[in-house]
Amino acid sequence: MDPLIDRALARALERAVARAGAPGLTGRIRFTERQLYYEVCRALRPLHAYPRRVRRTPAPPVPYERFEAALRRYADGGGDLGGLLGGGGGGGSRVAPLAEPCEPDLYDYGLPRLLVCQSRSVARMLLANDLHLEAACPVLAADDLPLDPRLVAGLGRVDGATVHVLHDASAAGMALTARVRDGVEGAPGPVRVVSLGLVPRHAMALHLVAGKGKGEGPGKRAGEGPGLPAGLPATLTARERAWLAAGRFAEVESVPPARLLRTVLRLVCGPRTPVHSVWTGLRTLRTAGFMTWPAENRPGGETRTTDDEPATRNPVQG
Amino acid sequence: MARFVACLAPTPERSAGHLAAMGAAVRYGAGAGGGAVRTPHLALVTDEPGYATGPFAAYGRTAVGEVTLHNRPDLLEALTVAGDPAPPGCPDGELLLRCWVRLGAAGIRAAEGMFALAVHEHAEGGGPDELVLIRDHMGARTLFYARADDTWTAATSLRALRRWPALVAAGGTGLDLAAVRSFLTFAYLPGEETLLRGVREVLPGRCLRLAADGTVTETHYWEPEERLKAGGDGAASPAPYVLRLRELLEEATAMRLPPGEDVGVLLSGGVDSSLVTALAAKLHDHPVHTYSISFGDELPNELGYSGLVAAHCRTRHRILTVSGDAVAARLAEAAALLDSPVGDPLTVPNLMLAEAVAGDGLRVVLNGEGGDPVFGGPKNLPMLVQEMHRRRGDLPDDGYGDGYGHGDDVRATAYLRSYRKCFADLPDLLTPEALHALTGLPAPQRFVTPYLRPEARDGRMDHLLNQLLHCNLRTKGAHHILTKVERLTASQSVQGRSPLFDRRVVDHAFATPPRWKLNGATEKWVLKESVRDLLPDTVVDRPKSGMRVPVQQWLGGPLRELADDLLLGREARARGLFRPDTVRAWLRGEGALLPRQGGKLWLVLTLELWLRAYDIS
Repeated sequence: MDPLIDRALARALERAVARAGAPGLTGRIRFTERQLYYEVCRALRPLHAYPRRVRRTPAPPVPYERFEAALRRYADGGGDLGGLLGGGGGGGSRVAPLAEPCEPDLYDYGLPRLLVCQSRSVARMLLANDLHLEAACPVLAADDLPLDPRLVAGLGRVDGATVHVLHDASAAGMALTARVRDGVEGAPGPVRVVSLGLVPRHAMALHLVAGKGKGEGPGKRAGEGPGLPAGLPATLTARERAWLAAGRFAEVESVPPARLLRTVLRLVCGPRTPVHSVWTGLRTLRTAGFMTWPAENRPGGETRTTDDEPATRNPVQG
Repeated sequence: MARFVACLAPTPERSAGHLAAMGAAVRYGAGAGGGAVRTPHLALVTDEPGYATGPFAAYGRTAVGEVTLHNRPDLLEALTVAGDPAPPGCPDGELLLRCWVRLGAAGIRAAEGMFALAVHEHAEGGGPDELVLIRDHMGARTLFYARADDTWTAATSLRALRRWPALVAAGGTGLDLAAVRSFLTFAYLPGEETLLRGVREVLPGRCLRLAADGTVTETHYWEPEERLKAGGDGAASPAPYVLRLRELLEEATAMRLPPGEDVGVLLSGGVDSSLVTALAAKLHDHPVHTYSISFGDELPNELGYSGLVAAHCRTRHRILTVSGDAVAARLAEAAALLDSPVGDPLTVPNLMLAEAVAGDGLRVVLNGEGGDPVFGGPKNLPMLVQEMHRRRGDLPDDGYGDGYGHGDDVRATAYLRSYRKCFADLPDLLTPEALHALTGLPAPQRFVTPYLRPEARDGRMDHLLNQLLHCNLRTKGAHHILTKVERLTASQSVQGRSPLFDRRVVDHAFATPPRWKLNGATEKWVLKESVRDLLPDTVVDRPKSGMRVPVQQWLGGPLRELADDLLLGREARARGLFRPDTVRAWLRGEGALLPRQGGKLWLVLTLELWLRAYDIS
C-alpha cells in the first residue's frame, strides 16, 4: 500500500463524512456506506464540479475494497463517522413479513403515493432521514415486491395514487418499473407507476461515478455485464444505449445524499400535471425513466437549470 | 377586564398578604342574596385583560373565575331538577360554582363554555381549607398554580405568579430548561409545564384539589372516549354520522352567537372557517361580519376562496392587509400578551384581526379552529405510514443519535419529528452547556406518549387515527390554538369562540368510525359532508393549503435587524441557550436541507421576546 495514497484517502474520508452528513430534513443526514464511498470519490476527484454540458461519468478513483480498509482504519482510530448508517444498510435481505398491527385501522385509509427503491440500502437511507414522514409515503425496496395487498388496496382508494420507482441507471434498474407495474395490477382503482430515474443521461449530466461490468462494489452487480437486454425504454438515446451496452451503470447511491433527498422529496410530493396526449398510454413511454435533478440548494428555494427535465407522469391503469 | 388570583395560606391574614404582594385587589363581590362576599383568599388582577369576575358565594363556598357559559338554560334546568334552583340572573361564575357544589363533577361536565374557576372550600368538621381549581373541557381558558411558603396560589395571570415574592424567593420563577426544550420541539408548551420552574398549568378537563398540607388530588371530569358501535367501523353507512354532526354543529354555533348583536367570523377561506361562516349566516338574526388576511398582493393568499364564501353567505367582508413592517413593530407586544410563548407567525395578524373586530364594535368573533384536531387534518397520514414501517421493523435503529428512540418510545419520537420544528436540531441549536443541563430532565415525549402508547390501558383509544386526534386535541388544541385565541382576543375585549371545539361535537367525532374522518385520502370527510349543502363545492373539496406566512421574507426584511440584535446580541449570548453559529447560519438561509430556517428562527425569536417580556434571565 502506498502510504501517501492512504493518507489522502483518510483526509478525503474525513471531508466526505462531513459533506455526506450535511443538514437534512430533520437534523443531520444519515447515509449509507456506499454513499460515503461515492462522497470519497468526489473528494478525491472532484469532477462533479464540471459544467453540465460536459457529459461524462468518471470511473471510480479508488476501489471499494481500498475504501473499506480505509474506513476500518478511520473508525479504529476514533474518527467521527457522523451519520453513517449501521448494519443492514447494504444488504439485500428481505425484512420480516408485515406484522399484524395493534390498531385495527392502520390499513383502512388511502395512500396517495408509495416509493419503491431498487436498493434496500437506499430505502433504509430515505427512511432514516424521515422521507416517509415528510412525504407521507411508504418507502419499500424492490425485494419487497409484490406489494402487500393492503398497500395496493390503500393506493386504490385514492384517485391519482402514484407508485414512484427509484432505480439505478442500469439495464436491470430500468426494467424495475415494469415489474412494479405488474405488482399493482390488482388495485381496486387506477394506480400510476412512474419512474424517477436514474437514466444514463442523468448520470452523465451529474458526472456520477459509474462502474463497469462485474465486480464493482460488494458484489452488487454480479450477473450484469456488457450487452443490452431487450425491453429497454424506447426513449433512450443512442449514446445512452451505447453507455449501457458497454456494461456501465450508475447507482442511486452515487448521487450526493442531500441532493438525493431533496430531489426525491420534490418529485414524490410535487404537484403533478396530468399529461393528456395520444402518447400517454404507450407502454414504451411508461417505462421511460426521467428524473429532474435540481441545482444545489440556494436560500429561498430550489432553482432549475436548463438541464433539468420535467418528470413524466404517465397515467397507467392498474 | 381582569384576571384572578386565589391564595390558600395557613392563615387568612397570610393569604391576604400574599395577594397584596402580587398586586391583586381583594374585592367584595355579590353573594346569592345580593350581599357582599368577603374573603381574604380570592382577588382580581385589574390591570390585565381577561374576563375574571367575583368573588361569588354559594352554599358556603366562595369562588372567583373567568367563566363564559354557552348553555345556561341547560344548567339552570339541571339545578332545578336537583332541587336547588339558581337565581335566574346570577353571573356565569356563580352558576358554575352552584353546579360544582350541587352536582359535582357531573355539573362541570354538563357545562359548555370557556372557564377557569377557583373555589375556596372550608373543610367540613373544622379541618383545613382547600382550594379547588377547575379548567374547562377543551382548555379555552388557562389557569396556573404554584406553591411557596406553605401557600398555594392559583391565577389566570402568569405575571401575577411571576411577581409573587414568596415564589421568587423560593427560586420558582427561574427559567425551566426542560420547558425550553418542549417549546422548541412543539412551538408551544404542550402540557402542565410553564417556562417558570415552579409554576404548573391545570390541564383541561380536570379538577385539582389543593390541600393545605401541600398534596394535590386530580380528577378527570371529562376526557374524550372512543365510543364506536360494534361492527360499525366498516360497512355502516356514514349518513347517520353526517346528519347527527350537522345537528350538533348547528347547536354548537347557535349557542355561541351573541343574542341581539352582530357577530364576526375569522374567515381564512379553508373549509373549517367557511363552514362556521355559513352556519353563523344561516342561524344568526343579526349581520355577520367576516375578516380575512392578506400579506400583500405579491404573495399567494386564499382571498379568492374567502371572498367566494363571503359572497355566498352574504356577509360584511373585510380584508386586513398585514405588512412585514406591522409584524416587526408589534411582535414584542403580541409575545408579551401570551402566558406561554407560541412560535406561530400568525400571532400579530391574529392580534390585528381582533383589533379590527373590536373596531367594528363587535364583542364576539367565531373561528374555525378545531377542525383538524377533532376531525383529522393533514398531519395524520405521515404517522400512519410511520406505523406501517415500524410494524415491518424496517426503520433503522442503530443507536445513532436520539432521533428514533427505542421500544415504546419510537412512536412518540416519530410524532415529535413529524412536527418539523426544532426537535431534531437541538444538538446543533443549543449550547453544550444547555444540552448538559438537560441531561436527565424529563423528555418531551412524555407529553404525547399517554395518547399514543400502544399498550392496553384504561381509556385507551383502540384506533390509531383516534389516538393521533386525541393527542392533537390535548396538546396543540388546548395549549396552542385555544389559548392563543383567548389571549389575543381578550386583549381587545373580544371573545373568540370555537364551535368546532364544542364538547358534544368532539364526543361525536370520537364516536364516528375513523374511516369516515379520513376517507381514502380525504381529510375531515364527515365534517365536509355535513355542510356540503351550505358551501360551494370549490371550497368543500379543495385540499388543505394552510395559511402561507412569509416568515423568511420578514426575517430578511423588516425583522432583519431586530432578529440580529435579539438573537445574537449581548443579552441572548449571556443567556447562553443558543449556539450563535447555528443562529447565524439560519439567518443566512443556510444549515437546513429545505428552506425552513425561517420557521425555526421564528421559534427562537418568539422565545427570546417572551423571556424579555417576562424579565426572565
